Parts: sequence; structure tokens; C-alpha cells
Amino acid sequence: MADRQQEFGDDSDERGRSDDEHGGGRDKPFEIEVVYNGIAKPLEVTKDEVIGSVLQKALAAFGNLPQPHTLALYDSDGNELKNEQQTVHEAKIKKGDRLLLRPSTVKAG
Amino acid sequence: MLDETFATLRCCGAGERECKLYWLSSWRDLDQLVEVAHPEHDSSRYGLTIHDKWITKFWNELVDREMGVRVQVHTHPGAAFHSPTDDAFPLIHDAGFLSLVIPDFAQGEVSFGGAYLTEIQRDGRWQQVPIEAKFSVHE
Repeated sequence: MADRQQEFGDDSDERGRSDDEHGGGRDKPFEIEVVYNGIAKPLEVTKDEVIGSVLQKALAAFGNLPQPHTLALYDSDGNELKNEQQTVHEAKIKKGDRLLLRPSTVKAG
Repeated sequence: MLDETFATLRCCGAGERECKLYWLSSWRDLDQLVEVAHPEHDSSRYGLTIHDKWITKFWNELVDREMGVRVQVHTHPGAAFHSPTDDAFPLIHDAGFLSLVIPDFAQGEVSFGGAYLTEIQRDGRWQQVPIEAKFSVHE
């Protein structure tokens, strides 16, 4: 594991999290869930995958919703994952985590 | 549902401000609307914004309870119609999602009289639909 962390420059131990929390090695996919309007769907991601890619997969999982530009990913505490170039690892997303696919703004007038 | 809807819209809006709520059904019985959800929001005579923290809490509750939002309902100060803001910023973006607008801050009789119903199409556009084609009220 130490060699592997060195090889990929992995700092997960420094953050208090092992690779196992991401479902194994950095390249190995692991499962999270994405929820939209009361439905949870499993999604396979990797540590090096960027949030923009996860968002596209989430939209596809829910049937390519109309007006996708109005939707974004949030963690279950409500923090928006705004940086689409950030990796899953950098966003601290772990195996089994729940992400919310939801609109950023809801208004009427 | 309709009584609770009008009571909530009237109480919250006080005849002066817009109000919004959602009609929910279980994912096990999509056609049966069974619950009214009243979001935390800021509102004025001409518009409202749903609180971001409420959306997060609501999104988590929906999946935990296997419930889904089928219809959004909100008031207008005068005539019922769908504004560009209503078109652009709904909570749900699915084809088939319905939006019901109640006129006169819901101060009229408890009915669909004067109301406006519109539905998201497959291409994402809204299109007005007859209310009687979508809803029936059971005692």
C-alpha cells in the first residue's frame, strides 16, 4: 500500500482516510449513490475521475433530464460540488457516499 | 389535499405574498397524491425563492421515505399563468412534472377555478394542459 501511495502521490492517509474507504486502489471503481426526487441510483466512480464526469454519469442515470444545465451535484450535507475539474478524491467522496442531484436555484414569480 | 393546500397558501401568503408548496406521492403508487410539503422560502408580492438548506433536507427525506414530488403549486397576486421565472427554476425537471398556479393569492373558493396547469414536455418546454385531464378529487 505504501508503495502504491508513493506511486500515485496518494495523501489519503494524511487526511485520515485509507484507500479502502474509496473501495480499494486509486484506479479501482467504487460505488456511491446519487439521488434525485426520491430515487437513489448506484454510480461507479474512481478516485481520479473529475466531478464533471460524475455529473454527466448522474444525469445519464436519470434518463438525461431536460435542462441539465440547471442541475448540480451536492454532498448530503448540502455543499455544492462546484469545481467540475476537481477529482473524486479531492472532493473527499468515499465508497457508499450519497450525492444529491438537484437544482441550484428554485424560484417562482 | 386541496383544503390543506388552500389553507397553507392563504396562511403563509396572507393575501400579500406568493407561496409555494409541493404535492407528493409514493414511488409505489405514483398516481395517488398523498402529501403536501410546504418549503421554507422567502417571498414577496411578485415572487419567491426556496431556501437552499430546505432543498437539501427535503432531498434526503424524499429518498429515505421513498416519496417523490409530482406537482408544484404556487400563487400569483392576480391571474394565474406561468412566468419566465416559473419556467426556468422549478424544483423538478422531469418530463411530465406538473405546475399548478392558483390566482389571487388563493383567496377565492377552494377549487381549480381560474387556475393554470402546465406540464414539462420531453424537450424540456412547458405546455399548458387541461386541469380536469390530470386531477380528480376524491373525498
